[in-house]
Amino acid sequence: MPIVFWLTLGGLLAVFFTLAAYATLAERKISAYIQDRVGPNRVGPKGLLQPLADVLKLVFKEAFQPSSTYRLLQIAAPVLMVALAMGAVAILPLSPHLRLFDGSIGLLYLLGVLSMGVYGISLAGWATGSKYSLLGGLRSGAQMISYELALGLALLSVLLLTSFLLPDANPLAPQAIVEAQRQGWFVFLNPIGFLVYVVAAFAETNRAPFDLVEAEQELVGGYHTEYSAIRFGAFFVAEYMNMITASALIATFFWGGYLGPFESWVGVSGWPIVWQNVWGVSWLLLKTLFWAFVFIWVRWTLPRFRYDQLMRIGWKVLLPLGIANLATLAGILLLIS
Amino acid sequence: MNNYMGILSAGWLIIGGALVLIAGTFQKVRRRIPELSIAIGGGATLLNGLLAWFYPLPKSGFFGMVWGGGIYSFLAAGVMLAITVGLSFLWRSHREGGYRGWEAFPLTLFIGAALSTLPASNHLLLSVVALETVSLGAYVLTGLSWENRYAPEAAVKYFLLGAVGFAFLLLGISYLYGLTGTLYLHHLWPMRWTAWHGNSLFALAMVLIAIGILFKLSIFPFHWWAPDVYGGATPSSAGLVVALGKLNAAFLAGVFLHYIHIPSDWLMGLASIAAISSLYGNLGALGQTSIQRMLGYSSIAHGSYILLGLVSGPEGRLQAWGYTLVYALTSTLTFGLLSLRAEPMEYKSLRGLGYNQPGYALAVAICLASLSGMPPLIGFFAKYGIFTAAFRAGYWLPSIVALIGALIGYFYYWRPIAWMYQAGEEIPIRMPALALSTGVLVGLGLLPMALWGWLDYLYGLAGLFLPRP
Amino acid sequence: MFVVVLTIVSLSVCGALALIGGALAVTLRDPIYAVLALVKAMLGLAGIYFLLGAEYVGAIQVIVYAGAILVTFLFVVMLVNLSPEDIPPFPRGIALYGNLILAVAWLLLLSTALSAILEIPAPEQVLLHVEPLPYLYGTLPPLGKALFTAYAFPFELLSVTLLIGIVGASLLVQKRPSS
Repeated sequence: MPIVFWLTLGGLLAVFFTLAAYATLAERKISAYIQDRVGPNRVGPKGLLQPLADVLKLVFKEAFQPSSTYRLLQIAAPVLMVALAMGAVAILPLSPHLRLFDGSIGLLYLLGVLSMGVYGISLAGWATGSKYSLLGGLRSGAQMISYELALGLALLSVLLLTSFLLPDANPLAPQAIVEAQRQGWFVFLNPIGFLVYVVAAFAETNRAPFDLVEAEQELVGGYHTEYSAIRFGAFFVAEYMNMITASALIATFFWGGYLGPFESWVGVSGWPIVWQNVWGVSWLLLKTLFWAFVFIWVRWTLPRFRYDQLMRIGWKVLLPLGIANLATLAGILLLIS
Repeated sequence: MNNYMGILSAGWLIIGGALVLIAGTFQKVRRRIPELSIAIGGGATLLNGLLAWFYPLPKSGFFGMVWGGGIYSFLAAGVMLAITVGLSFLWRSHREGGYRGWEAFPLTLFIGAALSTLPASNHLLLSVVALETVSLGAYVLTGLSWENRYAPEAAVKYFLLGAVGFAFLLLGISYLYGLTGTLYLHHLWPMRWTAWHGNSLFALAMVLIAIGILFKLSIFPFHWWAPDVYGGATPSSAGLVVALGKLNAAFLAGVFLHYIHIPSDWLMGLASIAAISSLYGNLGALGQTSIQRMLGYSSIAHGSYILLGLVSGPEGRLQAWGYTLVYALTSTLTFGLLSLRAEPMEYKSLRGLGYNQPGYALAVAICLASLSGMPPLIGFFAKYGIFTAAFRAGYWLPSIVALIGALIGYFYYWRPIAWMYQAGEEIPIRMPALALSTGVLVGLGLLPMALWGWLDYLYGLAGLFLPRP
Repeated sequence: MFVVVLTIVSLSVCGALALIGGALAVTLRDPIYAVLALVKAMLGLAGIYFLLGAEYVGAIQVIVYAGAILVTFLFVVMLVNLSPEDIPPFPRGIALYGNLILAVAWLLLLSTALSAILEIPAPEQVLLHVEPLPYLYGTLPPLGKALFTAYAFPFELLSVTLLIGIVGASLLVQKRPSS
């Protein structure tokens, strides 16, 4: 393995962890701003060391296991969550010359990792033997399966566009998807697919307004009701990791990924490779941060759906919309070619 | 046209079924669903009949995946006739209640699409998909009734055991693919099969496939589900379920035995199993008190005749397919007619029927007599064909044993007829729909040889008598 | 050489995973652990597909079986909320004979497979013409092309299979009208 690979891997993980940790702080600060409060400001300058304090606190608390738990599963569930949340980042192409994942199946790997994610929540809900947790786990099982379909359909429309714009590339490779967007970001070429994808991504990450899985007014804490200390912390971090990954994926699939605006006008491809990498990574980071902000913004602005509304949106709105979009897009592409 | 002939019937049925499914969502149209479905099924019968008439030479189409015209359309026409008859009996039960929703009608049309594709398939993958589609539908049709408390049990048993049998079949076919690298039948046919004889992996594949097919055909060592399933199935759809199972297995096994060369001692073994199965099924049916359960046991026996025909060379396979079509039609009619009555299907509830409802009793009697193989009826010609083919192929002992079994069959098929013509108290009977059933049966009974001749002619044209390389 | 050994070792590990997972799925008393064992078996199978170069099938194995079908199983098990005590113990006789039959069948299968490896005839001995594997074998493009040309009809017929499944399920779960 070339040294670049290991450096990229290390850098990606470091940035990812930092982002996830500071996303918790960002959520608290932004929610405070939205609700006209101050937010955490005691630890460090302007509260900037708050995540560190949180982690220390969680590590040193007692990890309590209720007597009716499946001990092995209860410990395995948060580990699985964090591992899968980290696994999905691997497919992000960071710049034209920098990527980790180079298999022929590309996106299918991502779908595989996403689809396994439901086990973490379901098992956590089951393993603790509490009714609230069980309800949370059941809800997540139904929700993730329902919205995976819409997500997959939106991704199919992306694949269709990619293979149309770059007929020779393997459309499953994320790199090819970004390169195809040199001719126009998919958010403009495929706005309905973008809409479907974003809504489905919100549901897949179990974030508001789709956070029925841990709806605190109904289920106390949902699937992690019976978790405490660092095991709870693992779920907490995994949620923000998923949010960051989802933001980065939205940026990659629809917002041009590492491509900046006016790329050809600036003449990036003539730069030294190092500067190209810096340029690409910065744009990806910027877009990811923006989408992470949108995730938080939505959570503190929109009320939660009822569960029947959630199912109806998934099966009766998003799914038909995704199919119609795919068919229309295919028809248009057929007419153009 | 040639290219699409193979999928014409399936396409008609799938589109028709989908339209019925969409129409059923409108409350106003819903009442007309049965008539609409019967019209579509009848249309498919007619379409296939016309194809067989005008294109006696079968054509391969759709990337060489399916055959159309000739014998394949003839078989599809027979299949669709049986299914249409089954649908018309479902209609009665549907109207009189005690019976789940209208979705059974489009479901049956979809089954028809898959089943009429099965014999015409030129690729084992397509065969397997069609087979499983039909089986899946049959599991649902088994458990339709609300009134009959055995129906859900029968459906679950059928589903679980059917899935096990299918798993064997699939595993065997995947071994076959691993060994030969192709599943196209026209690639399998000219293969030098003798190189495989004696290879244990090939033997394993064949054993697995045989187990799967014997399961589906309910032959002796794998028969145990048949009485429970066919005896417990919803009465109005039981005939259809029996017919679907037998047609399914007979078509697949026929294709298999034709295109894959199997050592002759294996065929002898299969014929012996068929003989044992015939004895078992017929003896088991003797002791039953419920007609439906008796018919369930006798389906084991009928499966054994079919298997005996299938292993007896090309002529036997033709006869076996003909027999299966006849059996499918007759059993659909018998079960359907018997399900028209409100009483449970017991022998003693038939008492005096011959005097109260002479026309109905005559129809039931004709159906049962045809199943038993009485000479002037079509069932006789079908059995006669199979046994001659088996004798000609040299299976003397199995044929004689199976024939003894068939003779035992006369006893129990004639017992309900005897009950019907015994005097007894008045039993109220709901009005049966007779015109169709008697018409079809008498019609077929009067001109069986013409149909048989047509089938023979088409079979010859299809080039299936070609010598093996 | 190293790669060959590595492949064989990985194949064995994946095979063992699948085998153990399958066996545990049948024998474990607790339904939730049985489902998880099945997940393990599916992942083992997916690993075998990946190692044999059928990457697409491997990915689909994970997405469809482990990620969707078994989640539904898990969902049902959680919804029914069976505890191990609710499940009647396996009848001893059946367990004994079942194990015996399984052991015999397994030994037969193993001996068959081992002996068959030695006696498989060469392809040109059986086939009239040996076709080379298509370009990009095991990946998506040739598969997609085959699905929409040569295999279009079975592919579409499979959609009918699924439709029958849906219609049948909605048929069987209907409630009896109250009249």
